[in-house]
Amino acid sequence: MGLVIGVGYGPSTWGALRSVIFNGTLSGSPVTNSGDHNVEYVAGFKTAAGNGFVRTDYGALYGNSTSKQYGPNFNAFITSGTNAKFASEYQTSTVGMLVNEDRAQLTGETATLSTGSLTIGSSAFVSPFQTFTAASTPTISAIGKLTAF
Amino acid sequence: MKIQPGIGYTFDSSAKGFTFDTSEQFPDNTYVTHPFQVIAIGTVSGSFRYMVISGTINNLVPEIDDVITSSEALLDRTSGGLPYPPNGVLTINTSTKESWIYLRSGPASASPYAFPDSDITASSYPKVISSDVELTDTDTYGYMLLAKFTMDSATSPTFGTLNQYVTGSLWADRLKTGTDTARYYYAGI
Repeated sequence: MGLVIGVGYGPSTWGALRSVIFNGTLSGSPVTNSGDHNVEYVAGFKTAAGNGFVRTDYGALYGNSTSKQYGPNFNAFITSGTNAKFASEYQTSTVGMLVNEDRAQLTGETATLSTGSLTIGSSAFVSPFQTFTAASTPTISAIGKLTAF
Repeated sequence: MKIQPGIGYTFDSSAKGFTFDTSEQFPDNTYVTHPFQVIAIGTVSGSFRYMVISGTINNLVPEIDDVITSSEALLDRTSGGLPYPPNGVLTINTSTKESWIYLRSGPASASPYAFPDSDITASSYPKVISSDVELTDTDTYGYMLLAKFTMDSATSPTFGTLNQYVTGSLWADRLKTGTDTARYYYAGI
């Protein structure tokens, strides 16, 4: 079903359907000073090619992705002991916030963590997500094809 | 009685009196073809004047520094028997004789941080400006090039060529990532 741009509630303009990719391992709000037609992303990842934004129905200008798990994201966290997960999480949709074309682009890319690195697998995008081991709480510092800011 | 220049006619004054200049034909309604159309008026009192047909950006009507009233006026001003639209003055580059007509807009500086700022008293409210240099976007302002004049003279302009780049009202977004300069995206409507 199509979405109407420029009227009423919902997507207002092109930017409403675009977002950066949030870094779930960073503390604090990823968005500041946001309002109608205006958003400032504090930190995260943008695409190295193109305009930096990925397609999504969860853009901050849409008003529903001012927290990390309500927009396109990558996260890494310990589940128990040294067992950890690398995930592009989702809360409102089982299909996640990254479109299939972007998932395909990011699968196989290297994620650099504070605890080492890993190759992103397709399991990172679907619960229960990609597993790896980590001696301490990991943070994501770089992802191939993306630029950290 | 007050006389003021308008579309197709201007006045100039000298020691010999006033000159009524109708060298530009009187336009009919078809002369105005789209929002944000920039129209040359001509030289009045040594300054080259222009006007911009009213349009909107995110449903806001921009303002302009009106030379007739020496105040900021909305492009759709129709009150007080004053010329519609209000008249701006070109700022011309002394070297290239060019003048860029921009629509300047900025975000609100306080919550809810809307872009553009809808507070008409704020400098970030949409405004049409003339610049004698090309302008680049900043975090404070986004500049949309509406048109560009290339004049016959920077100091005593009488006519020029006009290139129009925007032909309708606009929707716009402002997105900023980290410490990079904010980027502004416009869509014609």
